[in-house]
Amino acid sequence: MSFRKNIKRGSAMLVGLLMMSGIANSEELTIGLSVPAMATGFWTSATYGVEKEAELAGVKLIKLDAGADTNVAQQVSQIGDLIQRRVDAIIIGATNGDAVKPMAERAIAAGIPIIGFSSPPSTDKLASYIGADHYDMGRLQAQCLGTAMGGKGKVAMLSFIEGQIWAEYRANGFKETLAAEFPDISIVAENRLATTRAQGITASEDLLQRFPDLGGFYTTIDELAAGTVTAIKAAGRDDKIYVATSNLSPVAQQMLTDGDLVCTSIQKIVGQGRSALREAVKAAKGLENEPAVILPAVLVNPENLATTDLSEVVAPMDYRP
Amino acid sequence: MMTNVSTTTAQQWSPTGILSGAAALICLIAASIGFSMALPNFGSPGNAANILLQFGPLALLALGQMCVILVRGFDISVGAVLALSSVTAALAIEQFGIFGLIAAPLTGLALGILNGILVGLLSIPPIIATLGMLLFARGLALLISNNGQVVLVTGAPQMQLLDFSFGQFLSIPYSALLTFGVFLAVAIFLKRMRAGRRLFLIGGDPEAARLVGTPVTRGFVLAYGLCGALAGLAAVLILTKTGAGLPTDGVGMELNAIAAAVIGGSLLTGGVASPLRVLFAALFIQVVQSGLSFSAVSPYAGEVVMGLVILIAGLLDQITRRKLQTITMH
Repeated sequence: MSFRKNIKRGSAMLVGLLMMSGIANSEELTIGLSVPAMATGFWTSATYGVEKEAELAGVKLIKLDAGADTNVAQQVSQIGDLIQRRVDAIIIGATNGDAVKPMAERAIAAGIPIIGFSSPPSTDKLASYIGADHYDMGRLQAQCLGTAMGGKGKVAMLSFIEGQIWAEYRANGFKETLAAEFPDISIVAENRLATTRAQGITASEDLLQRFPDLGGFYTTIDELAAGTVTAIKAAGRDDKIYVATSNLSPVAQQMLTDGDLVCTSIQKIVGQGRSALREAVKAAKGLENEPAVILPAVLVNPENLATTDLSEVVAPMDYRP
Repeated sequence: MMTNVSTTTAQQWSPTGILSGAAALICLIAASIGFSMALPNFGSPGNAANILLQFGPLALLALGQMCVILVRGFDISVGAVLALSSVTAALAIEQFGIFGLIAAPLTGLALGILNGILVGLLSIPPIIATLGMLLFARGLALLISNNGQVVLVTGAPQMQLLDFSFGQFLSIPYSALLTFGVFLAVAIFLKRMRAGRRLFLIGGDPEAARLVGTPVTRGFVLAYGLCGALAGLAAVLILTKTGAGLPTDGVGMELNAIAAAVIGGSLLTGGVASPLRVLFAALFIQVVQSGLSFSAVSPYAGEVVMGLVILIAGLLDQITRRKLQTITMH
């Protein structure tokens, strides 16, 4: 057969299939999940929660990973795919809330409800929002650090970079609680540049040089705390300075066991994933949604680490999305 | 060596020459049929429009790669140039309204010409020249965008951008029409205009081209300038889709673009280019990506599949090429 005939035949089939597939339909609900970076700790645990709950609810889940926090265009394309796939609801953790907003609103206009997850698209038309109480995470850090320091002394903060809402909430929760409950503790410095462990080391070294009488550190995330602990140990000051943090990666678990951390306040990431899926199913069935599901923070310290139920917090070590 | 040039050019127009690049089309048809049968709604007209809406940036970047691969080069800076172009255009739109959009292709063109000068005039190897440009453009994009925050276009221009992105003519998204138009223009330029045809000569054998008095350096600047401008146009499409300049976006896109150009029949040894085949190849990659999004496979498994698919398509291209070579020799 000639090549040209082959092409003709192929395109005829293609057209036929295009028409047929429009008819195909199934009863089962399909939920889409679009996240920025599935390989990072937070999103791995979040995806785990969504997936487990989807198995329980008996709905089909389509997981899409933009690949990195920076891949906005890729995420927008993937949401476009989910709209065409005519999923019944989409859970979105946005790479960038503002830039993903147009496509999210397009989904809503197409009759697909959107559940905002942790970093939601910046639209007021969300069916529901799932997140953690980040203010409370800061508050718990203040209470445990204040108590450990005996209610007096100087504290430095590694507060993450500007423009991250959750980091703002955590820092505010810490500052306001400290001012209200531990008036004799003063915050002497706040670093807004460090985001990684290496930057955390440098920032902490500088702070230790500048304030030799520091009694404690607030750190927004456990990676920064790991940097701070390294700097404190290098300076030989680990018996006099307390470090508090948020999140509970394996690194943070190790630091708690070793007594390097006084406490960490954590969010129920798996639990958020479960809630997100539940709200998505409700929205898909046209039932009434909770406008916002905010899961409370949990305090973990060396004493209760072994007994704390982590099944709602992190995915099992062997889980792969 | 001159014979080499003439055979490549002759092959472009012979029936076997056209067939030798059919790998991309075969892959495209096979993937479209396969996914349509396996996945509900994949073959819907709506999803066809969706894929056409998505494939523009990759297709334009691949077309640019095709131009520089034609003259034995390649350009790994296009992802960063795209990011910087989207930021400069977003900033310009905030200043001057929607016409600021022109800043994107202009930025791309300027950086592309610079690449061409580095490679053509100063004889810096393409990998070094365009790696330098990659870092320069990425750094500049982060600097002028308030440390990597997206630059949001606000007000009426934002609506104009999104209206363009979601607008359709006969069910074909405007962005796809723009992409097709650009492909047509580049095809006409390469095959019908003297400056374009010279690029085949330069890619076939730069030394011979120089000996017969072809302005080789100008050819390099032209090819890289075109590649940069096309990256700027890809930035326009991304701007219309998101309504924002994205300083951190486009990482790794240059490699997908090179893959699409090679699946589309470009030879890394230069002298061969077919915009039509590159168009099919870019569509093919987008169809596979969309298919993977549709199916509920793990995203990691999806990446493995994508890698294998590119390898198989490349292999198929090699096989058809070799087969035809033996046929023409007998």
